[in-house]
Amino acid sequence: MFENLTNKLGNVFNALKKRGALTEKDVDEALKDVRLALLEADVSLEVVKDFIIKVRERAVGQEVLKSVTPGQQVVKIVNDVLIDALGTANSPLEINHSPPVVMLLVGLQGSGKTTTAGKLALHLKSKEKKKVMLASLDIYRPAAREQLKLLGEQAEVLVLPDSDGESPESITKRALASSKVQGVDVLILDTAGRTTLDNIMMTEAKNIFKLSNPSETLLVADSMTGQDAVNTAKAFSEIVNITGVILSRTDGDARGGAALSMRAITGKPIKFIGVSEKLDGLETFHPERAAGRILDMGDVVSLVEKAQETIAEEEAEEMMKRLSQGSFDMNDMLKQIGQLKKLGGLSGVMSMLPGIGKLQKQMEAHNFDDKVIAKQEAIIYSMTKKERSNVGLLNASRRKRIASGSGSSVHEVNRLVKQQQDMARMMKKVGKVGGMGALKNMFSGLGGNSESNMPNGMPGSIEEMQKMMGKLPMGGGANKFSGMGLPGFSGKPSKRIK
Amino acid sequence: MAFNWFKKLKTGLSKSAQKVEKAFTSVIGKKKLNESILTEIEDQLISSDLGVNASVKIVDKLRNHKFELTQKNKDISKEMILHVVKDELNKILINSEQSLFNDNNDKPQVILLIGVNGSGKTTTAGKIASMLKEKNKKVVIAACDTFRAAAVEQLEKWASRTKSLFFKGTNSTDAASVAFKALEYSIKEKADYLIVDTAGRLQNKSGLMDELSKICRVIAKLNPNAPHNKIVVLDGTVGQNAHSQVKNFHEQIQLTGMIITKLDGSAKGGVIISLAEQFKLPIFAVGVGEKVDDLDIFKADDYSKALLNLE
Ligand SMILES: Nc1nc2c(ncn2[C@@H]2O[C@H](COP(=O)(O)OP(=O)(O)OP(=O)(O)O)[C@@H](O)[C@H]2O)c(=O)[nH]1
Ligand SMILES: [Mg+2]
Repeated sequence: MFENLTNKLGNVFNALKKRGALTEKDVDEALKDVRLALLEADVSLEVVKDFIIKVRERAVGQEVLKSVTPGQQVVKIVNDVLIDALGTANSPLEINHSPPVVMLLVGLQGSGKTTTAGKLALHLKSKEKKKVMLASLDIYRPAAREQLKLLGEQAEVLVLPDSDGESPESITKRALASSKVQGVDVLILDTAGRTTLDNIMMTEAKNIFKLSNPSETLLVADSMTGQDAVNTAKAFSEIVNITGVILSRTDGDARGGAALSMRAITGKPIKFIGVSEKLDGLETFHPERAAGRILDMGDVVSLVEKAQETIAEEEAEEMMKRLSQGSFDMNDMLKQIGQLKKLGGLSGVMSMLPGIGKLQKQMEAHNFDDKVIAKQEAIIYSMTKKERSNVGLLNASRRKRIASGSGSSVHEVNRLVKQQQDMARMMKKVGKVGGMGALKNMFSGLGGNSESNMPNGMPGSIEEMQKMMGKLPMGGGANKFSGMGLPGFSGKPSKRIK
Repeated sequence: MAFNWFKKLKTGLSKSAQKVEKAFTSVIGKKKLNESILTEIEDQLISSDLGVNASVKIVDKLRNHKFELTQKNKDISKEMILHVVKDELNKILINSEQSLFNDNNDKPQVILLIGVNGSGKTTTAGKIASMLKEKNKKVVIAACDTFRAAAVEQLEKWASRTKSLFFKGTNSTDAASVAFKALEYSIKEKADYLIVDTAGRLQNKSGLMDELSKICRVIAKLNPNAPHNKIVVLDGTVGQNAHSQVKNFHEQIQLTGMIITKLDGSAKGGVIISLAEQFKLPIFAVGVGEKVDDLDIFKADDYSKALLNLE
């Protein structure tokens, strides 16, 4: 019944594939096996249970993309929820407090704290240009302090000198004092490994924590950890205020379910992962990669993503068709706004474009911001279906109603209508001049990689940019960031086209 | 030293044992083990890192088990269920009881310790030396971790702590050549045992895995039977990746046994149950702390009892 557990998930979804439609029973069946697959990846049981509930919540009521089997769709949902649950990439270290900023490393025996301390020191020194000191509070493990000293020498950072017979608490005080005297920016404290059941050692950790008042208290955990990950995460969280997790030895072949357990229990970001035994073997955490590894179904996930893209493309094509017939209405405008929002709003799009910083500031000054877009959206939502497809219906009283419904002024409604009409006209023109290809480029080009003709000389001002937009019929140019009639811009650009 | 092991192991495992016990408590007063209780037990076994496979198997046995009920004792007691589970665990583990030491005349007996980084190899080397010293054996400890910072110094402290002879390479970064010279030295010293500590390595790094074969090859030039024992040291907190570890190390150098460490923590090391079954390898010892005598020979019944918190 449970042979080949690693392939189990694949089998279930294959079974679903053949069935075609996804019944509720199928979903539950699938989730039962998702549970087992996660357990085989060493995600802790209680975390698995919560996760399954989340997936079910999100999966139920979701339509299955065409050209994708229900089973594949479920894999994609599982994958998405998993990425969400694993948190975000690039959680920076808190290092900009008044020096010396203290970083405390805690964890079980053999989890990789000392090596990680050396790696962090090198990272902070070379990438953040900080003056770093390492200090070992491990008075128990033979040669632990020698090990840290050697690593410090390799990383070329300061290391607090040893002195025998000192307690970890008193070493902590000495390290703090020495850091101050020497103008150290970041003091990294490496502690002895401890099991969570060892009360004396856990109390010691608490004392060190209180004494050093760390900006970062990082729990170092082995990515090969099994079910005990939850106990570790809970016990350390109770004793000290964990701010982040570092997963060591991700260069092994473990599925690494501990990442999810640690993250779920501590609620803190996974700040780094260890990727080699060498001092530069420290990388930022990428939830998608970790999820891919835990789930181990990358093929299916990319297949569904491809299908999603195709559908988006088809939508764009459909819109194009309508546009070239001159039927760009408020619904189309709404869709465009939606596309823009998906990409993180205006500012999100802007930040994707090189050399745009200056322009962005100007746009902000001109109020071309995401708030304007949100308002336009609200205005369109306040229209009836009929009004949206035919703005000709909008007489004065209707406009007044829409304005009050969307919390805007009649003037703003007027401006939007004008803008839409300008755009419709322009679209028609573009359709004729540049042909379907040009239009398609504009609409699908937003996140795309087409012949990036982001000009060498980016437009330096709004006016220049508008000029460019005005000239845009050939498509694919600077206007990439909205497929043209960038909502938020007034009707000006299209005026030039007229 | 075996005296305090059971107690220690039990304290170490008590957290998990409590959990298991709780699952069984809810059973009391019912004649049948219903599915939800069986699922609960399965969950608890999984939480002890037994893995889904092994847990399901045990629960299946439990499901099919015919409990003998008497007029007086009409309910299935917690004790009864626990004993069924314990018996099942023992059936699997009993074959893994085997002594690491023998009175073989082929001296020095070479014990090679391998494993992933931080699993407890160096500490275990020290603890084994201590066991042997208690048997009045002459022991050499060799530092073949030529990679990790201060690895040699760490082992050297264990050697002096256990009053063993210590061998390290001079400027050599070649683990195999240090091992070779260490055996030469041990022969010359007429040592009974040579314990070789190696650098931690992940089982998917082929270059480092090949180094293990080389160490074995080179040692065998001096004595074709050596290393007599090739032991993988597993971290008790490890999850299902232990399967990949044992499989790869076994394929690389044909292991003769396993040692599992850190059972004094909250982790249960339940993965050894399926490992023992699958690879038919002895479990020579368990690590239950950081002190020199915190290593004891493996006893299946003690382990199972401790896991289930049975007296
Ligand atoms: N609590 C506990 N800690 C242990 C046990 N065995 C080893 N340790 C600790 O685990 C940590 C790592 O042990 P080492 O012996 O250095 O492990 P190793 O496999 O030699 O490590 P590398 O050589 O770095 O790969 C140390 O802090 C040991 O004190 C054990 O049975 N219980
Ligand atoms: Mg070692």
